[in-house]
Amino acid sequence: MASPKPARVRSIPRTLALAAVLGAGSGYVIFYGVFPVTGVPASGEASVPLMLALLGVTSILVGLATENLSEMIFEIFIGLLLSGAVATAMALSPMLVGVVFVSPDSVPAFLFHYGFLLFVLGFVVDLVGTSTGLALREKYFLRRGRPVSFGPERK
Amino acid sequence: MGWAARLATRWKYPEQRVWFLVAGWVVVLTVLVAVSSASYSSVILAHTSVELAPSRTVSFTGTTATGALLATGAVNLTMTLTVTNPSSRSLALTSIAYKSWIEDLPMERGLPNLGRTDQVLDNETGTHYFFKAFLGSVSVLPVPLPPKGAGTLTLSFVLTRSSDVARFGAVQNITEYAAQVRGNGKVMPWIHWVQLVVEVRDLPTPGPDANPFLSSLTRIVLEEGPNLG
Repeated sequence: MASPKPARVRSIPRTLALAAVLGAGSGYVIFYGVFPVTGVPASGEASVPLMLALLGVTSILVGLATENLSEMIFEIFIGLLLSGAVATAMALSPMLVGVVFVSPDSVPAFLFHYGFLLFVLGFVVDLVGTSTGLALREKYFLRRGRPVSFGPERK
Repeated sequence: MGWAARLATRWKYPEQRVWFLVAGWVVVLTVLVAVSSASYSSVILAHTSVELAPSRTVSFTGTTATGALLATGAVNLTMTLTVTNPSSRSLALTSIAYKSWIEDLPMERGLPNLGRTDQVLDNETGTHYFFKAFLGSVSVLPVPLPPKGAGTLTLSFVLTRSSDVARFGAVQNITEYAAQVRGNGKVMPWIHWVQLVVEVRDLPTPGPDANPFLSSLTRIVLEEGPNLG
């Protein structure tokens, strides 16, 4: 029988990986919301349904892969931080081709200023989506017979 | 056992199906992030790499033998603007603003009652006065600047007594004075300034509520020459 400590340690990379997925989804949505003309699909104004769909699908999938509530909370908050990092990295991507267009120091503040509502939207949708995913996981995965069992909550 | 077979054996476990879906979604997000970053970088690259090479000629018609402008004469400013686009974006030159000043020798010599306002330029050779003979801004039919290509626009402006009596009178006075003291009224120094607006054509137009940086992202402003005011 595995001790609780290794199980907890095992959950750290999973939590970080899922937080990174949330961060990538929210970071892209923030960048797309601030610079929709260079997003995919490119448009003059950011599409709210598209942003909600991206955030929703990401967070529900992450919720389905999340084992318990405490992991989910960590994932959301770490994902919030990573979303800022992803959006900033995207805005600084011209540096990869040797172009410094604006002062790199000003980019995070710029994104936070113009993308503040998107940060809030990402946080809320992540919270609702991962909760939904976790609830679906409880309903459909854990109450049916499973060939394998792993994770700290299944003793 | 091949990868497809291994995938098939793992697919029957619900939790692993979720991880496959998460992995697939990560690929989708990665593609979105990469394509958007590349698109943004190419626009920024266009902003920093587009170059303007202007050339201008000022010619006089209707002058005396010494180059003094007659009342029936004209001053012709011809600008040839060549813009090179080394970027991968499709651009187009859409509008220009220009100003051209002629050195005002009578003002520099302190002649009275000239009745005009000049711009003052101080440099290592002293204080110089320049009179603004041409100014304006025009929207032009978009001149395409294809990726890795260039475009050229030639514009001509004519100053006559009928087009602007005050400016023409000042230029006439300057050429008359130069003809007297230098023997040729056509050789006065000119200073030119030009500003071009180049639009990124393969991007959608930002909405009216867009942030200011987004609006400036689709417009590239190029300037050449000193703007004396």
